[in-house]
Amino acid sequence: MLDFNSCKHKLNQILDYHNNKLSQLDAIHNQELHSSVLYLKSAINRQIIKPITRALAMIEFIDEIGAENIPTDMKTDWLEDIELISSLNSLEVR
Amino acid sequence: MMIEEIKNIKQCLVLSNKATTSLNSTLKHMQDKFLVLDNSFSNKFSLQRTAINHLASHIANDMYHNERLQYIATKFIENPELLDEEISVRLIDDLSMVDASLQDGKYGRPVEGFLFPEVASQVIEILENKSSNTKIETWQDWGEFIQSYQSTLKQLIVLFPIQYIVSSHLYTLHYGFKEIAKEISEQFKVEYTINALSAKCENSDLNRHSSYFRLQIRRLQRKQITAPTISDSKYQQELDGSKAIYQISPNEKKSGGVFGMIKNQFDQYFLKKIQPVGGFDPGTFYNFDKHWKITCEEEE
Repeated sequence: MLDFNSCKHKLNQILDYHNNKLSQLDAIHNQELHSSVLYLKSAINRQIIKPITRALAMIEFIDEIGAENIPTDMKTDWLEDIELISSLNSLEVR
Repeated sequence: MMIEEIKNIKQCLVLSNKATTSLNSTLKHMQDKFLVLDNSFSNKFSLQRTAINHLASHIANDMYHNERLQYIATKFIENPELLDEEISVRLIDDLSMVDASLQDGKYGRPVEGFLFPEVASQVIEILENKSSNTKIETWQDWGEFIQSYQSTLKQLIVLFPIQYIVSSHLYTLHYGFKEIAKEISEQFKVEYTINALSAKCENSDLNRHSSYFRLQIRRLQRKQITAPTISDSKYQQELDGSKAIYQISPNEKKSGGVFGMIKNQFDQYFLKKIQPVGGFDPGTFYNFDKHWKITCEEEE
């Protein structure tokens, strides 16, 4: 069974790290780097932050209504998604 | 001496018949409601339907044999001289099978149309104590209905050893009802999850997760089935004092056309413009085209 607490902790850590990086990117005002910064910010948002916040929302929702009250198919899909997102090495902070 | 034994056999056969009739009526009641439920799930419970049919067929066969044995016993009791006739030997053999089963005891050899008196009494007791809820409106009610039948079936299963065919039929039905209970529980969960996912925030008209789970709600809504409703019809009670079951399936409720057509036919019936063929039959449900004969003339 998936350990929601450790998943949530890990995802929040990753999220904090990438949000921090986004703030650092916001602080760059170099015109030459402008387009690269925008591209990088968009990629971080789309490929890292969105999936993580979605996984966190799923965990929060499961916690809120209880896993036993969620339809079986949906629960299976969600647990797979959460497990997949939490196990993606590409999202981890090294 | 032999007549006394035959009288005893007849008494046991009568008790056995009472138990089988009770089982038959419970099964009929169960089948009526099951068909409504099955219809809502687009007839996906074919295994369960087959199990009910097998049990119904077994009961009908048992009742036939029971009545035949009762008839033989009655004839011998009324005309003891028949016992000495050569033609009676085969018939006495039939009765002697019942006698042998009686001598065996509670879990004796199975004989078609006969239940051991103690078992028959227990069957009657279980089925008589069963509460029947005539009004079923929500998935929770359906869940309780199925659970109540599962519990009855469980009580009945333990009364029959495996060599009795009825035991397998009852077990198959119990197992089949487990699947139905699972589907009902899923519907309950779908409803609960949709409500939770679409609940509004305190300071917004949208749910706080709506940006992530909008499509999920749609997907769940497609899976959602409205619980069919079963209730006593006061109109039918007015007509013949008996209980009737009318229900409108969720799909038809949604479809204004079909529902409108049914309503129209009901209106016409109550205005005495159409007549049901062979009276009301809960089993015919709302298939008016097939089961009702329209005798009305165009309204002026």
